[in-house]
Amino acid sequence: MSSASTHGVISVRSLSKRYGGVQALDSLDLDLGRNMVHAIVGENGAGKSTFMKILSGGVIADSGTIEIDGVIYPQITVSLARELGIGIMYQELRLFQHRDVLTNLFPDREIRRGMFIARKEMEEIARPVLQAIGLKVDLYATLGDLAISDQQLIELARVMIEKPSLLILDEPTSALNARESERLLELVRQLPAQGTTVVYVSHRLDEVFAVANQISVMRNGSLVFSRPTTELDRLTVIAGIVGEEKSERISRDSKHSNVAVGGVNLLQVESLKNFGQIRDISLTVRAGEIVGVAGLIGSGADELLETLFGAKPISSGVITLEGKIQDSPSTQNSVKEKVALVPADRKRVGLMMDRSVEDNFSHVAVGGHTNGTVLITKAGLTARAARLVERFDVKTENLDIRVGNLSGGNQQKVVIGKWLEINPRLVLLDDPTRGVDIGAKSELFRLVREMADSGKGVLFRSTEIAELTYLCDRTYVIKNGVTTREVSDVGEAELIKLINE
Amino acid sequence: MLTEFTPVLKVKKRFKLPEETSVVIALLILIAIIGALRPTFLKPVNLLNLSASYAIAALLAGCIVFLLAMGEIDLSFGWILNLSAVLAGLAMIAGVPIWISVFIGIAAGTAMGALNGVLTVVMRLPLIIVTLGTASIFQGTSLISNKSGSVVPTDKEITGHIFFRALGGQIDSPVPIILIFVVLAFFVLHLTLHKTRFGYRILAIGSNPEAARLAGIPTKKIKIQVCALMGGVSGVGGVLFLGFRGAVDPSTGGQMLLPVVAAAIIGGTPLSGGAGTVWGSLFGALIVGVIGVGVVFIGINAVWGTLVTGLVIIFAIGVDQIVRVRKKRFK
Repeated sequence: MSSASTHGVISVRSLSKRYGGVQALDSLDLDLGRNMVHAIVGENGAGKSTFMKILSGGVIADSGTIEIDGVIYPQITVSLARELGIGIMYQELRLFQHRDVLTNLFPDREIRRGMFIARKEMEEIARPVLQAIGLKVDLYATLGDLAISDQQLIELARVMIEKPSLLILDEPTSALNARESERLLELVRQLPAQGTTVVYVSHRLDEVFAVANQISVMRNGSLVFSRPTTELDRLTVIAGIVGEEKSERISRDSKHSNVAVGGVNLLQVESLKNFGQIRDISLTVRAGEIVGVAGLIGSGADELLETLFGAKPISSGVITLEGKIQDSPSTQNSVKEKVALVPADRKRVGLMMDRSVEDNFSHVAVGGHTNGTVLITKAGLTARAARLVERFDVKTENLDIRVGNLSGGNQQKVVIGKWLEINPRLVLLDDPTRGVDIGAKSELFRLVREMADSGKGVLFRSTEIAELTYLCDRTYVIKNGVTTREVSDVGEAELIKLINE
Repeated sequence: MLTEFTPVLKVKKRFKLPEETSVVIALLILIAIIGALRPTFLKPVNLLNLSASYAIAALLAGCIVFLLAMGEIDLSFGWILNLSAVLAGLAMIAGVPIWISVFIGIAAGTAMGALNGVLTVVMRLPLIIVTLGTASIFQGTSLISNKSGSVVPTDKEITGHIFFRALGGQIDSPVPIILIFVVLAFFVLHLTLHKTRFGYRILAIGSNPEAARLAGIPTKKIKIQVCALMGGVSGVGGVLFLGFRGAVDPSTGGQMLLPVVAAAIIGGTPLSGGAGTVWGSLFGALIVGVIGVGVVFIGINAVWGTLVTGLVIIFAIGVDQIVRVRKKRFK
């Protein structure tokens, strides 16, 4: 890396950030030249979003410095980011659902005349920006009533109105259709000429190659390489994203071969459609099988498991469990039918982060810990929690520790452990390795393998394609809400190509 | 043609009725029903008296909308009102000039509200929990100050003061003075919530606290300010009560929680935060008042007023919730 203390450069040095047991950023060094589009790519958990949040002041780094146009900042706060002209469009939308569109376009940056908000003047500023983005929407409509794609474009308009000199886009097209994405990319390409430096984070390699002047690949919180797009091809980038050492660390023998031939169809889904992104999904899971689900964010893959579990309503289609058609899928029904969901967002829905390990284990299956009485007994709970901690090898000093203080991998073991208590026949694993370090990952994989070997069916979605190719017997590819392919025995690069094409 | 064509993305603004329309219609229907049964109810003097006696509850409802919009609720405002009135009354009896006593009452209320705000921010607890405790603190302080008895300024020099004569209705005015004051206050509250940055920040915090923080809004400061505002308005309510009734009982304010919160909810402010209507709460307060007074007019035992108010709240919240769920489902 060249020593770059020149003007017109953003230089990041030894930037580190740790969340509990996860090293999200590990001494990152990176230079971003002004007036270019920089793409940042990497797997989930590579540290991209953390890096973006640090750059924009949403998160404070543990150590390291950021140099912007010749000035070194040890940390960037929200207000400093604003002064420096750094604007960010968040992946998870940061909008106000109850407020109207115009208000959302000027969050705490309203234009005032005297004491009062001058909405007419705000409208005049907003109109041309919306026009440039190609967004047709009533400025007085309540934001929560709009389609998610319109909301994403409003988030973009919001940050464009600030006329930032550094614009960070984190997965900006995840909710957009092809036409809207194309328009956004066209807009982004024009920005450097107008004096805006763009950092573009995306999983979609075709977009990255279409828009970026420079591509930086991150893995495990550090930089793999950063080179001009003209010197790169897709395969080199994919190789950088995937990495060499990982294939050795995830043991190959986790792949198995003993699918009971002609095993019963545990789960059969036909022409599933919901009120969101799922349009036409069909798949089957047999007993003893690990079936993968691959798809980009916004493709419907990320809603599929919650929908199958009954946490999101379906609009049409048939879900059959061991030959029994499920007329009214609901979460209660799923528990009764012995279907378990390990949700993607364990912090929000999977665990009670403030409660102890023991309390969390007793969350799903009441009964079995009552020591023969009607009342739940403390001794029964403790005995069961101790048994599960031992069985799943949860690394915790004692049962009274807050789950929030465990590392990501051990948290996930608690989630899986508590669900296995109902002895499920079908386990839905929704991106279970997010925020889980590599050592704990292989233990999780062993657990998943054991589940399948004991005759359970497993449906496994992951945003890390490598996991699907290593672990799953078959994988369904989902694009734009439709199952487009069913593959087995494909390599990671091939599968990444399939979900991107 | 080679001229560059820029599509004009004009979107017609759909005509929308003001969100207060339904509550106004409900109020008119209610008045019409009671008026049909007992025509004397419709006499202007009766309607004005009714409005005047619910004016203080209406004022507090207009302010609790701020807290609901922020996603919080204050349970202590009734006792802030009580203690402010007691302190102002005691000051007057002790010989402090009337206007200074009034100021003392309002300042005390503001301080009590600010205390609520500081506690909720420092302890990181919802305001409802904090005010569950502070309500008893304010009530207890009041009981100690008034020695468990009423505070009644009787001195001619005090009761003859313009403050008491104006609020007590001893000055000729076609509309009760207290009503004029409260309506003016509503203009100020409405403009503050819906037309100033302060109001926009309150609504932003109630809608999405994390997004508000990331937008650079000083969320803690705003919370404390809104709590102080609620306390200050409760203090105003307290001195208005003192002027209107001429006395403060130990129980004054204790029964205000239901009518005030009910007025805001019936008026169309959801409990979930991010939205609110100040004017709606005024009409909501009138609905609560018409029910309370109306049952007496019709000849039903006054005890039924509370029951009917409860039913109306459940009905109003129920309709609101059903509409919201349907909107979401069929989006």
